[in-house]
Amino acid sequence: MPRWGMVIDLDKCTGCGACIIACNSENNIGLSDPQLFREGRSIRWMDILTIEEGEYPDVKKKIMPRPCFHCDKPPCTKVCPVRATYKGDGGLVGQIYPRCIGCRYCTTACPYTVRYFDWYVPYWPSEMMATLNPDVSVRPKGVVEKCSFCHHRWQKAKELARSENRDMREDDYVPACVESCPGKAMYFGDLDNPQHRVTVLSKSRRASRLLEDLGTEPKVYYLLKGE
Amino acid sequence: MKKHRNIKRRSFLKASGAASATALGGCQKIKNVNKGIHEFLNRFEEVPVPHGIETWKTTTCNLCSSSCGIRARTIDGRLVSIEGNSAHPVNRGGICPRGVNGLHILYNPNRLSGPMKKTGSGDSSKWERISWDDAMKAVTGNLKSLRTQSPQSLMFLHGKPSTSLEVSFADRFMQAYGSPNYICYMDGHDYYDSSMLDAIYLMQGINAAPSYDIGNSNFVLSFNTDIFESHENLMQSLKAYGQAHSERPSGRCRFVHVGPRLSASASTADKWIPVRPGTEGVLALGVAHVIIREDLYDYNFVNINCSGFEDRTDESGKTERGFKSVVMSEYAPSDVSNMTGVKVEEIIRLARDFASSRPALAVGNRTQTRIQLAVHSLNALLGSINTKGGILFPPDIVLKKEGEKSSSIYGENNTDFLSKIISSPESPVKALFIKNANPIYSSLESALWRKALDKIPFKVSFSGIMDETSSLCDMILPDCTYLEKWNGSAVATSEGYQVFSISRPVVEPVVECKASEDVLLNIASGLSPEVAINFHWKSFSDYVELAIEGLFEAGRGSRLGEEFEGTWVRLLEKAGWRIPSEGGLDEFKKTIIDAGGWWDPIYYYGELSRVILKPTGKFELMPAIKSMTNYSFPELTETDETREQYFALHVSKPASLAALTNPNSPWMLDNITSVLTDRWNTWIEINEEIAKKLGFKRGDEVIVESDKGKIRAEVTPTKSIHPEFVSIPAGMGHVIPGEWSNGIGSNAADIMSAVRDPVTGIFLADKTKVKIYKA
Amino acid sequence: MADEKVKTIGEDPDDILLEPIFKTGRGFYITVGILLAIVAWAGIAYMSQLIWGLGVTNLNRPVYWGMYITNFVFFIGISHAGTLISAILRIAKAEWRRAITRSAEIITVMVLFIGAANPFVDMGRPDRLLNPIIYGRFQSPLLWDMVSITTYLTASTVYLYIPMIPDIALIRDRSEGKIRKLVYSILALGWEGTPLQWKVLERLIAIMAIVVIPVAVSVHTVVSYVFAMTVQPMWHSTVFGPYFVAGAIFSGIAALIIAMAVLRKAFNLENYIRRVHFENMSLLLLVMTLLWFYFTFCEYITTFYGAEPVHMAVFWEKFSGRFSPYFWVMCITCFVIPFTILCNKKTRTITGIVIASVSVTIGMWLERFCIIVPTLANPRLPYDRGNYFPSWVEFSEMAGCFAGFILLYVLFTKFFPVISIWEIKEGRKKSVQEVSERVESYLPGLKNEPERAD
Repeated sequence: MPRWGMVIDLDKCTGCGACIIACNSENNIGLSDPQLFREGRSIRWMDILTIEEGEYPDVKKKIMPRPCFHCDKPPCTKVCPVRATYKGDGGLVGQIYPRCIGCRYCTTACPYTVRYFDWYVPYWPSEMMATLNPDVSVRPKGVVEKCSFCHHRWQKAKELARSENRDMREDDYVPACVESCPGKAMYFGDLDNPQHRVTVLSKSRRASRLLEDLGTEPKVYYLLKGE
Repeated sequence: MKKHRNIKRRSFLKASGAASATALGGCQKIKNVNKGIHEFLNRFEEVPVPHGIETWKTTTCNLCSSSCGIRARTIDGRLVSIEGNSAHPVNRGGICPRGVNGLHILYNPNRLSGPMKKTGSGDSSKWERISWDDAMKAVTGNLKSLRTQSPQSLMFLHGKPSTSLEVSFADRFMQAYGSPNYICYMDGHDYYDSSMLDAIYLMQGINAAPSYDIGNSNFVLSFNTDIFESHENLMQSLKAYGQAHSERPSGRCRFVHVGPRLSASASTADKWIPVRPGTEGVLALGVAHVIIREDLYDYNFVNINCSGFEDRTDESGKTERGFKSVVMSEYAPSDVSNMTGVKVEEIIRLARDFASSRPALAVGNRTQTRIQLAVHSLNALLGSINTKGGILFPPDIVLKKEGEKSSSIYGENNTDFLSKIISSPESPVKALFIKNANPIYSSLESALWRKALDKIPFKVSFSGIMDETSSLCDMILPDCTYLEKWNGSAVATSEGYQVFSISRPVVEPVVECKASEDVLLNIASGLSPEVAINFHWKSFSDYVELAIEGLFEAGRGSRLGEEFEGTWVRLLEKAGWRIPSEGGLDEFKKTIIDAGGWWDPIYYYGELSRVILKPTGKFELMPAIKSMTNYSFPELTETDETREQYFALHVSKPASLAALTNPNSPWMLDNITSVLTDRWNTWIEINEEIAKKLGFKRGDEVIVESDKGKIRAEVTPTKSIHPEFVSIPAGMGHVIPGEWSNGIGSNAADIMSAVRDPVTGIFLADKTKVKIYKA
Repeated sequence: MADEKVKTIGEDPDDILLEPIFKTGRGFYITVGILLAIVAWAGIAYMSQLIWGLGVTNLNRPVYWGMYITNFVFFIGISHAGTLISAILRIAKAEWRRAITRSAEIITVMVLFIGAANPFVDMGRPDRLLNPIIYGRFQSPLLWDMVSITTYLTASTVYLYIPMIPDIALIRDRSEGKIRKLVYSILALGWEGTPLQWKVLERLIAIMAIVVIPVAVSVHTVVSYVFAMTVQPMWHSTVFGPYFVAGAIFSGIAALIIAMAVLRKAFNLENYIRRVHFENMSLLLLVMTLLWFYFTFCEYITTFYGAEPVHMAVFWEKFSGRFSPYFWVMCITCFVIPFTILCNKKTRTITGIVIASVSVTIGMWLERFCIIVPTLANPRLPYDRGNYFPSWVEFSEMAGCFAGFILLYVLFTKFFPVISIWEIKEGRKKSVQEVSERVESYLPGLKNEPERAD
């Protein structure tokens, strides 16, 4: 069984936001509006975090794309009272929308705050309903949702490989954010497969993970900025 | 006793069995109840997403002039996602946020359902939906009668100049009609590097768009160029940045950003050097000073290919000071430091780093030719002209166009026609076509535009949605989006390779729109035989195919393919092999269209005689100096009290809003920029210290006032802006109904002073002074 | 006792305790009317939440929990008043308990319903209420909560019911209406007052009193686990269990004092609930005030000295940041006010004690708020910062909770005596003798010499 993971090279990331929009499009994420933004309720499975460091004129802004980290020891799945969230095949932390009771325990337990809640019924103008991706269900109001590493793409890739009677190749299954990245700053693959690029990169000198000391074993590695 | 106990046990077992059965039944019941509730609620809540047959088609994104290859995924004819085409050399599978947003452009709820005609006049005017037949009849009739009187009184205003076939087609139409007034238009909000073009023309005598080979460069020094936000070819610079930081044999590229604001581009840089407003050019010459003083420049290039470096004595014995002596005497680091506010050591270190990590590249400010000239001189000093990792000048692609010549007038520097229209008693322009342009919203002279449009009797807009400009027109013939029509565009990658990208319809038109080229074709065939003969095609797609024939005849290049295929082609060509022929012309066309385009993965570096066309045959360094001498510096030197109130206004052009005439998309407005958390509103970045002094807190509503007007904005105190600068984003503040755009934020153009560059006549974006007070 | 004859109303001095059951005054209808209106209003507010989703609250990302969960913890805390205190007093054989145990136990049972309802109000999908039963997973502290609260509710209800049986029988005997007689007969479980029945009753009460104490302590510990089991700053703390229990008892005692004062006024029970009850309870409250201060001090001083940045972000938010008003008001109402009032003999009047209790109740609500919201508003990653102030829907729900609790209490007093009649009677009859015997049993030099064998 693979152990899917991601590597994000911060040295190549320009913070352009392509990953966010590609993710919104792929995963039928409800449209934001000024009210939702003001209330802090916009949903973005992929987000770009920015922090300002130093004092003028020696200021730096650090930019960091943040998907769900799909921890190997996820703090969120432990607390779910109904097993609506679980660590499934491939080490992916999944979410069962029809089962979730919306208690939001997982959202508070996640130290990375990458879980989102549907405060309202998601909205699309009728014209834009055409863009909805049939591979991903539309979440009703009142449930928790999160980045799935485009789990449905894995299913499709598996089926394709089976129909072509071959093993899966490295680039068969790639989430939408990784695929869209203009600077090729993101990599995706099996962290247990020494042939895969992510395995090599995750052992790089520059590799680190977010809040590593919590022991959550996130499967998203960041390659720090060079120099 | 024993028996008794036995019975007891048995009955107990029975009882417990019955109890557990009931419990199990209860469980089943609970499950059924639960299921019932779900099914009941699903009827109200579930959003059904229909499945269907999935198809993928390659086409080209037309939202900016990068012309990235995209793959469109449709499910039963509805477009579900747009992804990058990994075979396309411009983007190699990547896609920028704007590219994905094509979905929202296609399915925008505010798209016009079909042709519209204005009835009545003034305030009582109303829009009426008409049929295409009626619309075409009205337009053709009008133009027919106009052509017999004065064909030159038809004007075509074409926004966002690009190298796409639609431009040459429209131009062709105007030539056939007999009017020279085909205007490729851009304005305050557009992002075309015209100052770069002007600088290159003045120094090299070549009129060509350069490619910055960032991907192969070892040091990129950017002078206030927001290269990863509003760069003309955004996707290319994003991709090149990734290349420049991948494991290359030449090592990691260093990136330094000089400018007043820590923009998204500056935050990706290794270092941000804040300078005083407008002094980037001075800093460039300061860097030149150190490079010359420490003998770090490229002797060969400067001595052989540059003129004006050393002092020159003409026949009369008069000595003209050269670049070297002027820079050495006037731009010493200490002087430059005084002017720019950058520390002396910093200038020296920057110059040494820059000059010692060749190939190095200097990229200039996009609005001021003056600064651009100084910056471009650095490229010459380091010999980065037409070298790998330097600044490249790709030649044009040979496309078959059946005898056209370009008559386009570029830029807003040629808006003289506005004053002509306004000043003459009767407008010399009797009919106007507007496409891809919204000057009423985005021009710095929108008041003039309003007056001019008022005087033009017949105005036709091709806008797909009702925007500020089209609402003032008489008729709207909604153009199809790039996903519903044919097009072709010739571009060059940042490595200088020529690419021809083809767009084709990937979905049936969502509304009753019509490709504007087909409309022109239709009009032409209805005008008169001598016009019609120039438009003998059935539709615009034939014209696109004709262009492909030119590629076939050239016999070079290849259809688009994966990266390794490109290397393969390159090897073959180097070895003297011709590219494997694609069979006949028809097969060639088919493969090209299916692949999404054609490219020529070969670039010839050097070739200085091709890229330097000055009469001397040399790169002229003197313009860099001359333009600086009459520069009065700085513009904010007033008494200290006024300093506290007045700021130089910087207008940032976030990637998500830069290229859209109407950003009516929640995706874009929710992701305006990644370096700030502000969204859905116009914000104003003020230096933290200054904001504290003025008593502004984050989120305060303020009025930003210039001599031209005032707008509202929300305060964002930040450490990452020069204290003399404030910055607001462009692209919001639309006043025409739109599901998301209307009433969101303010329009930066409302306060930007319309100051023109004395040399080139284009608007200078950094010339507005503003004061800020609480609303 | 068994031979006691049935008397008509008015003859017995304790009949005042049965009065509210047999006579319904205007005050009752007005009170119930007002409370019903508030509950109905909360119902309307909840309907809007049901229709539009939790968007009608002011919860957001990252402040995913707010007033509802605060109410949950608060009301579960209040529930510790009753059963726990009554059980302790019973075991300790404190004679003054007789007049107040019943009212305390009622608080527990009624408020548990309200407290347990709050997580359901907080649920995004109330229609999936049954999912935790069908798919329940015991790794989740929420499941522990469900189990412990149900256990506690059952135990408390039994503990409330058993000592009520003789009183129910008394009402049965005095009722005239047919239905009424039938209902009370069923509830009385055939109580005849035989010696065997008395023996069983007393044995049961003794067992329940002991069982219920560990259950009560565990319930609030488990409530604290909901927070302490996550890695969020200032939640992930071992002191949370005892801290929550102490807080629960603290707020419970305060609630009980308020209830005592109200009952005494409303039903003219000055003879039953006397100054000594207030005095004794106030001393308990004083002890809990100090204990509360001790725990709070422990909690914050360890955070401060550990000085981990993520914890300190929350710490400073409470001490000087956006949540400092809540925090400092909490400190004043939980410690400064009750401590000053209760320390001073002059201010420790019944009015003073009630004021202190009201202050503690407010303070303990704020304490729950200050535990939940500042942590969520300042999660570990420094990027997501939230703010929170409840919306009108949440305030309505809170008002509904209080009104619902009071309503349940009022209705209870309508059907059952609020002071245990038989215990009062028993006390009058036996306790003087019992107490003197008991004192003799452990104090030397009174009557019997201690047996060597002991």
